[in-house]
Amino acid sequence: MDEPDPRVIRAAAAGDDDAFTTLMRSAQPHVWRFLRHLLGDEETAADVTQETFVRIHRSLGRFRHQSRFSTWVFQIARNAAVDEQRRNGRRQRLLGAMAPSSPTPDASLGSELRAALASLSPRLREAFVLVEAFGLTYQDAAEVLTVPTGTVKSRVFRARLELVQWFDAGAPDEDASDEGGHGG
Amino acid sequence: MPPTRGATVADRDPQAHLRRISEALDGDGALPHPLDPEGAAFLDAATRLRSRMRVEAAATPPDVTDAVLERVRAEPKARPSPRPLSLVAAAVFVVAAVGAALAVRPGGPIAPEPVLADVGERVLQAQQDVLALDAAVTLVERGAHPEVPVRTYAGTLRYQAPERLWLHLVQDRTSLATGFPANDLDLVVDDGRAWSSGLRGCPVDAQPGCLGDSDARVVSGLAPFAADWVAPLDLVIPVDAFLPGAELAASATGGGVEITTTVARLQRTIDGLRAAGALRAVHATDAVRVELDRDTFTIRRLTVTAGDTAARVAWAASNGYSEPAGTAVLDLTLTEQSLPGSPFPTAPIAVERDAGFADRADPGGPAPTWLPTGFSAHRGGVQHGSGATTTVRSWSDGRAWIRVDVTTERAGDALVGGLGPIVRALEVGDGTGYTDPTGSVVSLHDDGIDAAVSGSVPLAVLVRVAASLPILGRELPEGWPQGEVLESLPEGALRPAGALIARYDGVDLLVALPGPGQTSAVLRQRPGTTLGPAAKADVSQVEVRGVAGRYEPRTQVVTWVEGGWIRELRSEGLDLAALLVIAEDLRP
Repeated sequence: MDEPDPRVIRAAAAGDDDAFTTLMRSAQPHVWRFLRHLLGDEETAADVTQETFVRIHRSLGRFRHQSRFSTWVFQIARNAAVDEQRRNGRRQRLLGAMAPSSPTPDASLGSELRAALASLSPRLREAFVLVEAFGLTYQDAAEVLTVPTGTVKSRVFRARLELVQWFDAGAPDEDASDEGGHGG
Repeated sequence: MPPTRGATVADRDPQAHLRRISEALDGDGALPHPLDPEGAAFLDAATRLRSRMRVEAAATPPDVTDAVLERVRAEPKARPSPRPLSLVAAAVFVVAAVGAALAVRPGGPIAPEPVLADVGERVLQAQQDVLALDAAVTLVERGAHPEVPVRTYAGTLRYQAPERLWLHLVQDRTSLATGFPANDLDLVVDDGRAWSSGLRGCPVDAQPGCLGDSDARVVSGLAPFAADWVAPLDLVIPVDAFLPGAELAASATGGGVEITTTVARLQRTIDGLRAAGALRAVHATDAVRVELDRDTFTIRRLTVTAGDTAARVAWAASNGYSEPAGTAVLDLTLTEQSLPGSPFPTAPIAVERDAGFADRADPGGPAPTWLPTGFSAHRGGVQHGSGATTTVRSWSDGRAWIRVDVTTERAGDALVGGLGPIVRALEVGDGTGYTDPTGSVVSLHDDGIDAAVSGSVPLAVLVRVAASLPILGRELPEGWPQGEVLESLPEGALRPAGALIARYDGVDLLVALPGPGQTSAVLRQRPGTTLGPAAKADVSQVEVRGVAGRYEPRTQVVTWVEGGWIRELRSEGLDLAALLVIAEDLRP
């Protein structure tokens, strides 16, 4: 995602709808794609994309220009996705059903790859998607996920290892720990 | 297998070797050299994986622009004052300062944790998921009295959504001071009935004699989420600190979210803790560090630390407290765990006060046709008293609640809902509604009928609920004091950069500067060129907006003369520094 002109961000924060629309049109394909990876279905991703931008609109005045705008946007999108998953999990519990442990396969990806991604735990999947699909640095991904950089390194590595194993030999090692990272 | 020539110690561990390759792929370090066959195979597979991820079929993303704009435009037209930005900036500064202080610990420096962008939004969302909480509680109280340097407590907190709560604390008898009775306390809110037992608080100087014996107070006939005995729901999850839609800087910790702010911002949480027994008081400007669970946003730990502002020092001196600045005067921990036994005890035998509310399955009267997803009917009924009968309905989703009061018997020329003297108008559907400066309630007035919508949800939600009532809000009639709101100020008067919420009080011009918790302020202005004599001896000279002014710490008032106007800025919960920042942001 390209970094927008800070003047556009400031104008949007001051209530300029055109500036906000410019920001939204530029960022929403990336946000939707990110959420589709996390949530696994396009309709839910669209709903949460909408929620993300409503939250961004409310929060723009608090963006301090001390971090990358794209990182800030991804963090809000990720939080909205976590909230959606929690609500969905609660709905599932209230219905007496098991919460889905994996997302619905993403139809736009190759069948093997989507099955492989769906096999990852949510923590590994979100770290891997940010770094691998969106090219975020470990540091930026750590800011989005609010974990130490070392944890991101560890999670991306675990995800890669599981995916490589999945393609080589089938099911990944489900017991593997996703942690082990250290700060820095 | 012996290590390859030139390999590092880490390379002897195949996982470490592969991890280095993974990191090198992401531009973090160089590829290990030489690569063993396993490493080469991993690199090859990971590179192919990257290609597949980055050339995924380009699905067409939906355009949500119009839907988002429609939603954000549906939010209240009177936008909240940007003043909280100053508070956020101040909070960020405090967090940065605290972070800097914590950045070096025994064992070496640590990297600061990332800062969360939208914790307030998430707290407001998370309240809908809190259905119940059982927790073990510990509390350490310092400086309650010169002869009671520390008291420790252990107990439990039990909560069932939306408004059943029992806080039970027993003082550790090893922390009893001579002559002081045990400060055990219970606070129970069980829907329409509430009771507390324990010592009654009294002036520090008169303790222990004034403490007397523990007794019980019982109230029945409470309306849902009754304003006069609100269940201390903010002890579970501190929603009030983030209404109306105000954020705080937060840092991620191991499994938690940490916020550093002041008592003023978390006043309702602190009040909930102090609602029973004789716990010590704290000052609005005392620092608070609160740790929330990262998943549920329920409180895990809350620490209040004595501040050192002039207002705090003056307050402590006049209330008998003598702890040095930096003392952790209240340190509360909540550890979620399963608790045995019946969750809610019956009330003790005691004189009972009837608050005048009668539950009814169908209270009658108008009801909203829209509620947020997930909300279901809670209690409803009829409130008698104050010369009027009001039908009350409520809905809840987890700890979140919404309440609608409707009456055809309004008493006096004032909006219902306890809005106070300064209100602001809002578009509510096709009509007009009013809210208080902080946006905690929406009030509608029509011929022969009045309604108020309140709740633990953002103002935008309250407005939408109000708009779905079969009541078209009208502008307030001539002569109603609350209707005398100003849309502009006379030349030379100052106002905040955001929404104007102002009215006259005699010759004085009052401008509200809303903030969450107890962080609101009021600017009082009148034409004049000289300040009267200082009433108190501890008044200090300060520079305000580039001119000389003065600060009265006991009342937390900054006064100055500027441009032919005498101006007075006052807040119960903001210290001098925050008041000066607000003053600086004012504009003609």
